[in-house]
Amino acid sequence: MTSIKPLGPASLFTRCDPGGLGFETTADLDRLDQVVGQPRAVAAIGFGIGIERPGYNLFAMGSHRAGMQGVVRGFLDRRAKEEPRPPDWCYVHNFEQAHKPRALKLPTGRGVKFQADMKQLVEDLRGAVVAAFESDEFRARRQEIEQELDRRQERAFGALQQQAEQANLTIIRTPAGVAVAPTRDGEVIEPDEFAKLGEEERATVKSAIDGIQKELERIMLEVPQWRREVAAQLADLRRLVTKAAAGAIFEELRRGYADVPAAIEYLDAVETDAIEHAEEFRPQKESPAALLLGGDPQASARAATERRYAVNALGDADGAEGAPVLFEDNPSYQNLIGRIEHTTQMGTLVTDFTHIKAGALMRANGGYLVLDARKVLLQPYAWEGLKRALTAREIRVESLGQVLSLVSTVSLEPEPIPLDVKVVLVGDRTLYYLLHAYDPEFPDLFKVVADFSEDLERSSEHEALYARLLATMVQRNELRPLTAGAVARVIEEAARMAGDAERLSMQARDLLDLLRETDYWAAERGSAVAEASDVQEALDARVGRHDLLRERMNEAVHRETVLIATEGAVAGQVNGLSVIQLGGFAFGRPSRITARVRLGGGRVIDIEREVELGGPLHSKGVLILSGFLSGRYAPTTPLSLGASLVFEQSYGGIDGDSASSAELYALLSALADAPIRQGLAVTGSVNQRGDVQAIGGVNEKIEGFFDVCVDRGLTGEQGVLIPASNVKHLMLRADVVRAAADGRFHIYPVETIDEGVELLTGVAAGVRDAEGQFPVGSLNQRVERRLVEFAEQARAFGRPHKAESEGDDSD
Amino acid sequence: MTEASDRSRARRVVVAIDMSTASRKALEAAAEIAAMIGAELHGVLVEDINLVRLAELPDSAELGVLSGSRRELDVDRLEHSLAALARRARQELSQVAARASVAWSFEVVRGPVLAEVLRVAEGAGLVALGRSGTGIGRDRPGSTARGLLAAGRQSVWLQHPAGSTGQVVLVCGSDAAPEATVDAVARLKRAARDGVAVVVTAPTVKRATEVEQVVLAALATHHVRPTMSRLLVGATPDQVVATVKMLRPGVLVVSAEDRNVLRLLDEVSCSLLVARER
Repeated sequence: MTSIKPLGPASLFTRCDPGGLGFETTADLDRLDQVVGQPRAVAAIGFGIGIERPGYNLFAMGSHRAGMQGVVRGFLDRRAKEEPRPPDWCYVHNFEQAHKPRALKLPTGRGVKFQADMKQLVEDLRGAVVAAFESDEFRARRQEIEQELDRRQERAFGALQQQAEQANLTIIRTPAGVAVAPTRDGEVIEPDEFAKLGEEERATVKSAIDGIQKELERIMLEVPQWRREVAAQLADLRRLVTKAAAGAIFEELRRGYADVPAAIEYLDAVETDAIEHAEEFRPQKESPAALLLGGDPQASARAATERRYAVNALGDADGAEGAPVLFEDNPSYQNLIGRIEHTTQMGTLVTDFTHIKAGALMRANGGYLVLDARKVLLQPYAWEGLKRALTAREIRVESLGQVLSLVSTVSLEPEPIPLDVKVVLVGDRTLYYLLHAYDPEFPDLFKVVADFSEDLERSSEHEALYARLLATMVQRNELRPLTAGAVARVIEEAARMAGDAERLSMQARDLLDLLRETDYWAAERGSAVAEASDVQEALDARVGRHDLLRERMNEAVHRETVLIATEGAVAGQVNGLSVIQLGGFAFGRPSRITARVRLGGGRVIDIEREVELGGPLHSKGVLILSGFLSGRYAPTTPLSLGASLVFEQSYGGIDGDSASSAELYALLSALADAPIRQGLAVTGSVNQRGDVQAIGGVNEKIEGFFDVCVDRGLTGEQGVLIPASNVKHLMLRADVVRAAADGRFHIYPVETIDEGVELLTGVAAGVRDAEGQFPVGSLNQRVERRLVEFAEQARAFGRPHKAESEGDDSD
Repeated sequence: MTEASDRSRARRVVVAIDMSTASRKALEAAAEIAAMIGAELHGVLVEDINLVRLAELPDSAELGVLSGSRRELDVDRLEHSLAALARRARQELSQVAARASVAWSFEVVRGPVLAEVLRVAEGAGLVALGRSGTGIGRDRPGSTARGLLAAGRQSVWLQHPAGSTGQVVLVCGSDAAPEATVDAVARLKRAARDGVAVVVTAPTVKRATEVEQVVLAALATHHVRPTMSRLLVGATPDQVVATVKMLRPGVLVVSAEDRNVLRLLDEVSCSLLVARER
């Protein structure tokens, strides 16, 4: 029988020696400018930022607590500072198609200036145009033109009036027009007198009236044409005067933008338009509509003119150096792509190009945009909008209504702006792999992946780097310096967080939380530096805040509501261990696993699976047991075993195969009728060959059983069997280590089922001899004999197992 | 007529309404002045007897102003149109008067326009009407306006159809006492808003300066400070008209006694307030 020695305290917890760190407090350490332990991600980011090809956007993947964003932004900030600031983009009015605002590209930093220059231009034009229109020359010329119309009308109507008077007629207004009437002594003739006229005379009068009326008709038809001619002459005059007045103003502005052809072209268009709309620069008369609406019609007319020639500069006027680096925390469709806002006028929504608001893509254009992948995917249509922009390499500001063709009203269609941005998505691995698998566009748009490791190899060199990392975090967050002891304790905790004595966690957010909480406890003590005890206080307090559920579960065991034996020996019953993870706090708890065996069809029934409480991994573990049993004990005979396995008093789901070794021990114990020591608990998975394999959460599992044993009183016979391959993961609590050092609690590393079963039952497992037989009385021999007995019974019953198999098949 | 009733009538502002653009604006101006001096606003719609006679003539026709088409003009249609016009005039008057918070009355009369207006305006302080004549295509004042200036005994407001935007220009000749014109200016709200320019015409510099002093002092008592004052010594009517035109008046205030009044009326295209001493 092999003798497995319990692990010594050194194996249970790998200390970090404060003396070996080489400093007294973190104040002695320089800040760390490099990224620790992420060479793969760093290289990927460097590559992704450096390569300037379409589709080479980045996806930084890893745990959201690894501080990826900070690392990425640090890189981007450094890189962006060395890059030129991108040109400015503006939207301006399109004088030919008002609903399609033009995009104007201006040299870096001149967008806002152009905006101010155009505002000044409008002011200058207003002054110049008003002065020009008020000039004596303009007035005189206008009067000439208007008087010419009067003269024309007077000539025409005056002559006609004279002609009428000569014929004893007059032209008078009626409520709806004009009429020609016969007169006598300057007054319209009385009807009675008219009736007294002779027929011939009346006919003469009538004929004269007809003649005047015809001439009147002719003149009245000509009047509108005369008015149009006058209006055209006045318009020409206004153009001429405005051009003369505004020419110098435009020339001066053109000189300032001589190096920007697009601006010059736009200024030409503005000049042409301003000349055509010169009247709009003058104070407006009160219109009935304006009176109806109230408000100041002058102010609204001024605002309308200012808007027409305004420049909507999309960039920020912050004067920052280098390329922009932007993080959009709320990546909704509109926040990403941009939006077109509206204002209400008389209950109607109206908009123009000044209401176009830049989205994150526009603001980061020419630089870098960092987005949380999960948030982008959660926002309706944001992902589609982002992909469309990256694919088309242009930003087309459209409302969602337009994109989805939900609205058919005429809205703005701003000219698309070329997009040159490097997008960095930050997200967890699952998202990356899902997108890669299910979104065919994703691999083409995000060709570079920066994979962030969650942990770092623990070596003395890395411990020193880690100390500097902690020092940097302390300094950046203005925390109290940590003593070397405190740093060592944090490093030990980092190993525990990594779940591996040989690795250090890189979960930056968790580390920072620990440092802040340590600082709090140091402050409570009134200390200027944080000691190891403050770190421990922070850790203990954190556990204390979270462990109500654990306490209740342990209490249930203590009160024997949940049945867990920690003494004695029982066949077919073993203490398995599981981990419960709730709200960022994980703890272990023992569960009683029992096995019952009988004659059957070679099937091990996993009760958890039967009731759909067991997950697929757990089921896999149980099925492996059948493989182990048949391979080891019944290679040539039918396995006529019927067995059932159950986690007693388990009412929630179970998954994972870490209890498969415990289940096998229970099964073997039941078959061999060899009682298992209840003071021991077991964790570890098993393969078909009987090798015990590593599992996760080994520290929490051991501590979970330890707590139950401590509650009952340590007997010195209690302990936990763990896979030997998990020894390197041990970073146990100090009280567990102390108990192990004192010989009151034992951690046994086992490599095979045979080693474990011997420890649990005290019976030698036994190895087949040269003739293939297990030693008599060995546990394996007892198991094999029992299985043979089942097989013989089965034969004696005349293949009873077949019927059962058939029954099973129908399940 | 007693002195009290005389005063009462003097505190009437009569406005002749024919619902043309100019007459509607004249109504606004009259209401403003009535409110300023605390007078009653009396509207009158004169149904031109010549028009009625014309309608009674056989085969009468009218030409639509907008359409240019010829249509029959008969008494029934005319009466109907006149009645509708009276309703609109009354409604408009009531609204304008309500806005200006002045008492108002309205009557419809039939007869020769000038004679009826003169009759109704008898004893009133001011009569307001549109300045355009009934002639077609003419901007010059019509016979009613001219008749009022010639035969009336009250101040006359002749409203330009385009409105009265622009400064108030006060023309004072040495041959007319300035009190009435100054008083008229003081009653114009727009004088304070748009500014007042003074043009003094006199045969000599001395006389012009004297008149200017009197005018400025009188305006000062009403807290009106002119933006400019121009003296025209020995100016011909043409020169006076040209000067006034250059000042682009919104309202021209001139005394009925001024020898240039008819030239100004004919040549200057703006609203005109012809002030008369009472």
